[in-house]
Parts: sequence; structure tokens; C-alpha cells
Amino acid sequence: MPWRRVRRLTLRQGLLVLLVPTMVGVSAIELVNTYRYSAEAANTAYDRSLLGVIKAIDANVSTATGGLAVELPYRLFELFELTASGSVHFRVATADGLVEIGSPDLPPPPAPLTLGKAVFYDAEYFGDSVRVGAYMRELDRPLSASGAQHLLIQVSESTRSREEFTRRFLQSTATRDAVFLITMFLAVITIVSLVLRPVSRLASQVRGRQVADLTPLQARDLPADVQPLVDAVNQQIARTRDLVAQQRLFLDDASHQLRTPLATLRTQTDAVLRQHDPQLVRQGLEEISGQLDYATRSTNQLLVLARTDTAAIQASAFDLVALVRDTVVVLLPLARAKKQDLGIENSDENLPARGDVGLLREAISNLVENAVRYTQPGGEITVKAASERATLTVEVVDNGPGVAVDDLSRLGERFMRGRGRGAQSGSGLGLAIARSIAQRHGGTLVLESAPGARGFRAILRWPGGEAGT
Amino acid sequence: MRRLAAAAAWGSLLLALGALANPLDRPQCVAPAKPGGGFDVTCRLVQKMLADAKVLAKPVEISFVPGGIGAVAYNVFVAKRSAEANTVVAFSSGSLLNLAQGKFGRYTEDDVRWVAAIAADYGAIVVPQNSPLRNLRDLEQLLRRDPTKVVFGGGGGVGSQDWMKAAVTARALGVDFKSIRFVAFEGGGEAMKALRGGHIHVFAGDAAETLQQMGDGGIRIIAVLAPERLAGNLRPIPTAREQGYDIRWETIRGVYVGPKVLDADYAAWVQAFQKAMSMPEYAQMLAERGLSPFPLTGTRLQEHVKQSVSEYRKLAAQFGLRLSAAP
Repeated sequence: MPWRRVRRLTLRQGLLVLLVPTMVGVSAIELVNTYRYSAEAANTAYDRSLLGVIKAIDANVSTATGGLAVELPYRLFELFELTASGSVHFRVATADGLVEIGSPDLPPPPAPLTLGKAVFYDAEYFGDSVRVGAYMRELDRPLSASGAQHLLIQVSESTRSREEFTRRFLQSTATRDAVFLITMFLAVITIVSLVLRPVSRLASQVRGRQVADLTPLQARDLPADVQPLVDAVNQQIARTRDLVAQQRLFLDDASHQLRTPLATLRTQTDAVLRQHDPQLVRQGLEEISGQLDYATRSTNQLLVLARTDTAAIQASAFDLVALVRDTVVVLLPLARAKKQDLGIENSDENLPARGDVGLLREAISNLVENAVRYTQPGGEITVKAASERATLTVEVVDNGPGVAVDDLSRLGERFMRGRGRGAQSGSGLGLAIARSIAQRHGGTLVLESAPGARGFRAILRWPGGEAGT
Repeated sequence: MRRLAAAAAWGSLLLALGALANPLDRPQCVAPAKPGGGFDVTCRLVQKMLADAKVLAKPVEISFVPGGIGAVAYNVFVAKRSAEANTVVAFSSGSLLNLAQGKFGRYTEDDVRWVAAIAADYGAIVVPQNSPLRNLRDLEQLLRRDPTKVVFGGGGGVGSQDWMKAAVTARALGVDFKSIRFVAFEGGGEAMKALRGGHIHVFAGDAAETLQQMGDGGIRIIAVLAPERLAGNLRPIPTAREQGYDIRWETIRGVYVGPKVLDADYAAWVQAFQKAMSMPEYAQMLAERGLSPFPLTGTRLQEHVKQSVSEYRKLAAQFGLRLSAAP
């Protein structure tokens, strides 16, 4: 396809390939119009001078002798000569042609004449292309040799001078157009080069960058059209920079997170190896086992977080209440062990929702598990799913110790343990994972003190209700 | 029946061959105008002189090819009827003047074969009978005093023969030809009518033409533009040269044939005219009409025509007639 080939050309080539034929075409049309216009203008102007000659002859016609007479001053003849560069002919005759002075056989008008109105027409006269003006008026008195009532005056001139006029006019127009076209093409080439110079500078700037260089591109002096591209690239660079920073942070935290339990295990193992009492050895191994559980969970959560940060959302339709129920049931034994009252407020409803089921399950599970972990034995935890105007919410409320107001704002950041450090072992990633999942769904995670005297509330909210899909 | 038709066919073929064999068997004279004009007169002269000389088996037939004062006929005989051996076409000095001014289209005087000049007419300065002008000196004085007081007239406009005669005369009288007043009429007849009626003061005409009109009275000739006095009734009229002005205007009449006419046929025509012009009837015929003999034929005529055309060209240039209006 030629169009595709055109688009692959450089800007300069493309401009020329499209502009040259367009401008040449426009100029050609303009030339044709100029020709028509100048021919018409030439005819109008030259016809007027023909009319002048007709009027001059008319003024000199006399019928006083009973015959036809035309006084022809030499000055009038000179006027004829000035009128045209070709031969001038005239004919004064009665309408019936019986009496005539001047060139006989001047071509007659193509249509009958109206009295007192001059007409002009093109004709051939002895191999010469001529323009004839004809004018008819009433005779002052009838002539002896003819019964005709009307007098016809015809003047013809060669079309050479008006053709010459038109040709010269056309020639100067064509020359002007050619000069204009050439100037314009040169200007286009120069201007495009000038305009594109900053772009090539930008290209070499980008080529010369270090691999790790994530500073924004310099957009100075660039054409406004290229500005959005640079902005977009800079935005991309900024995002990449954020991502790299986040990953570095993650890596730091993760290595700390993994190193700590490993060090603990090392210490515990050394302690067990020094023991000889089988009872104490067993007790030590049990502690090691617990520590391994913690390390395992911690590692799993790290992996989940890494995945939520990067994996694509696989959205599908599901029943939110069912998902909440399934998630809570799994955690029920944990709550029961602490004699806590873990319940779902609207377990028999049916809430159609949309989202990544696996990730959402993980988020809800984290929120509930978090509540179970930090609420004192015998406490109360309530989970509630709701859908309001296409926004889905899962709310987990407990009546535990809550969180200090200062810490509330930092809660949900990675590796931040908000409540009761030490006693309760957590990775500090649960809320961060839930928040990441909410954000990946275009939603939010709200963490706040419960409405009552004490307690904590977490609300997972994302657009994914039936109306929103 | 068949035999008869065959005989008829043979007969007509023989007739055709005979016509081809001798151009003078069925002679024709073409007047390149409508009947009744000067060319018609020329053809009638041709008809009469050739009949008087008895050089033809049959009388000359006259036909007419009008248009463009001879231009149409000239174009026809140069291009289409260029080899028509039995036809001569009438011409006059007016034709040569038109040729000189390029009014015969792209053709020149070299494009036909000039056969014979049969007569010459000379210019005449004509005034009304009651005019105070008695000679060219009077005209000169009047013109020098006020050129606008004298109105010339003639057949045809600026660039025509009559206008040229008026312009040549004015020039010889020491008056700017551009300042003279000239009224164009359809022909000499109309101009003379205007002269009698007092609408114009001077008519620059031809001697022979004027002579025909003199019978009606009311006009007189004050000078003839001839090298010497004319014969017959025109003898008493002094030439311009006699009056001290070098003005000469000659109008010749003659015939030509197409360019592809064979040399033998061309020579036959030339011989016929030469014989006719040697007859006493010829001189008498001209004298009756106020015309002068001008017996030029063949090559000598070709040369004369060439010279005339070149003189007319010069004259036209002097009068600024490069792109002249029609005669």
C-alpha cells in the first residue's frame, strides 16, 4: 500500500512527497483559472476599444448624398492601428448588404443583432483568427441604392494582440508560481531541519544515557508537539524509578525478614545441640518447629506480596458472601482456640461481585487473621460484606485493644507491626498485602478505630459490584 | 442502343482531350467580383479584343468569383483551380495594392502566372463644375491655407487606391497627408454623385471612369496623373507634371492564370493577347473608353508586377499602412 510506504518516510520526505503534488496541482488549477480570467479580461478590454472604433466610425457616417459615405480621418485610422497588432478591417453596410464600404465579406454576426447594441464574436477572416464587433442602428434616411432601414457597422481585429496579452499574463503567472513553489520547497526543507534539530538532540541525549540513569529527560527547546511524548517518557521513567525504589526497599526488608528467623533458628538449634536432657531437647525442637512455622508463613506472605505487586488481575464474577464465608470458616479453629466470637453478619445473603477471587480471599483472610491475632481471648470479631452503588465492601471489626492514634496512619505500610509488638508474632505484611490487593482492584483499604469505646476496624473497598461491571 | 452510348462516351472523351489539347478552345474569364464592377469591364475587354483578333474558336465566357476584392478568387486559383489552363482571371493595380498590403492571405505576387496587361488607366483630380479650383496650384493654396476646408472623396477607405491618390497628391502639394479630410464611398460613382451635390470638394478618381460620367456634366478634371497627355476627349487636360507637380498614378488591368498551368498553355494565352493587342481594333477600343494601351505580357509583365508590388509596399510603409484598413 502506497500510503503505508509514505508513512514510513522521514518527516521531510513525507512533507515533500505530499506537498509537491498538492502544490503543483493547486498551481495548475490556478493557472487554468488565470488563463480563463485573463482571456476574459483581455476580451473585455479589447472589445471596449473595438467598440470605440465602431462609435468613431458611426459618428463619421453620412447619408447626406443619398448614398453611404464615411469620413475617415487619418487619425482615426491611426487609432485602428493602435487598437490591435494584427490587421484591422471595417465594414459599413446597409442591413441587406447592397451598399457597403470597407472590407466585404467580414463574417456576419452569429445571431440577429439588436438595434443599438454592439455584439462581439470570434470568427475566421482569410485564414486569420479575428474578433469582430458588430453594431446596427437605424438609417437616418433610406439610401437610393437599397431599401434597407438599418445600417450595420463591423470592425474586426486580429486576435493576435489579445492572445499575446493573455500569453504574457499567463507566462508571468507561471513564472511567479514556479518561483513560489521552489522557494516553498526550500523553505520546507530548511524549516523541517531546524524544527527537528532538537529532536535529534534529544535522541542522542537518550542514546548517551547510563543504564541506571533514571533522571527525567530534558525537554527544553523541543517542539510543542513532541512535548507530550517527552512528558510520557518522563512519567514512565518516574514510575520505573518508583518501582525500582520499592523493589529495593522490599528486598532490604525481605532479607531482614528472612535473616531474623534464620538467626533465631541458628541460636535455638545451637541451644538444643547443647542439651542432653531429652525432655529439654524435645522442648527445644518444638520451639524450633514453631519458629519454622513462622518463617514459612512469613516467606509465603512475602511471595504473595511480590505477586500482588506484579501479577495481573484475573477478574471473574463470584458471590462475595460465599467467599467471606469460606475464608472465615478456615480461620474459625484459630478463633475458637482463643475462645473468640468470630461471626459473619450477613451470611445468608447473596452479593454478586467481580474481582480476582484468589487475591481477594488472601486480603480478607489477612484482615480476619489479623483481627484474631491481635484481639484478646474471648474477644469478638465481626465480618460484614456489603454492596452499595457498585462498590463492594468487606468490613472486619473487633473489640480488641485497637491501635494508638499515632500508629494508625502508618498501619498497612510494609513490615509495620502496629499493635503489641513482640508478644504476638506477625510478619507485618498482612495489612500491606490487603492494601496492595485493594489498590490493584482500584479500591482502598481503610484502617481506623472501631466506632465503640475500643477496638479496630478494617474496611476493604473496591469497585466491582454488579452495576459496575 | 449500347453502340450509341459507346459512341457518345467516345465523343465526350475526344471532346475532353480536345479541351486539354488547346486551352483556347473553351476560354473563360473570371471576374473576381460581382457583375458590373471594374473586373467585369476587364473581362468584357478581354472578350472583345480576343474576338476581334479571331484567335479563339469560341467567344470568351465570363464568370464571377466574388469576395474580398479579388482575394477569394486569388486564393481559389492558387490552391484549388491552380492547373485550370482555359481560364484567365482579371486583376487590376488594386489587386496588386492589396497583395502588397498582405490582404490576399498568405499568398504573394509570385504565386500565380501573370499573362497580360491589356490597358492602363490614370488617376484624375476631379472637381465640381462650379468649383473655384482651376488647377493644382489653386488646390495647393487652398490646402496650405486650411486643409480642413477641402474634403476629398473616393471609393474605399484609408489605404485604398483613391485614398492613396489623394494622399500622394497632398504630399506633392506640400501638405501633410495626415491632415487631409477624406470621405469614403462605396465606389467612384457614389463619390462623383457626392461631388456634384457639393458634399465633397475633390474626387481622386480614374480618368476613364470619370470620362464615362463627364457626359452627365457637373464635373470637370483639373489634372490627370499620367506621364503624358491622354488620348481622345481627355487630350485637353494637362498632366500634373505639366503643372509642376510630380504625381503619377497608374492603374493597369490584366489577367493571370493559376501557377500549375503548363508552360505551353501559358505561352498560347500570351501569344493570343500579343496578337490581339497588335490589332487596330484594340487601340480604338481603348480610346473609346479613355483607357491607354499597356501592352505588357509574359515575363516582362511578371517583372512589372513584382516592381509595382514592391513600390506599393514602400508607399504603404510611408503612409503607415502596414496594417491597413481595407480599400
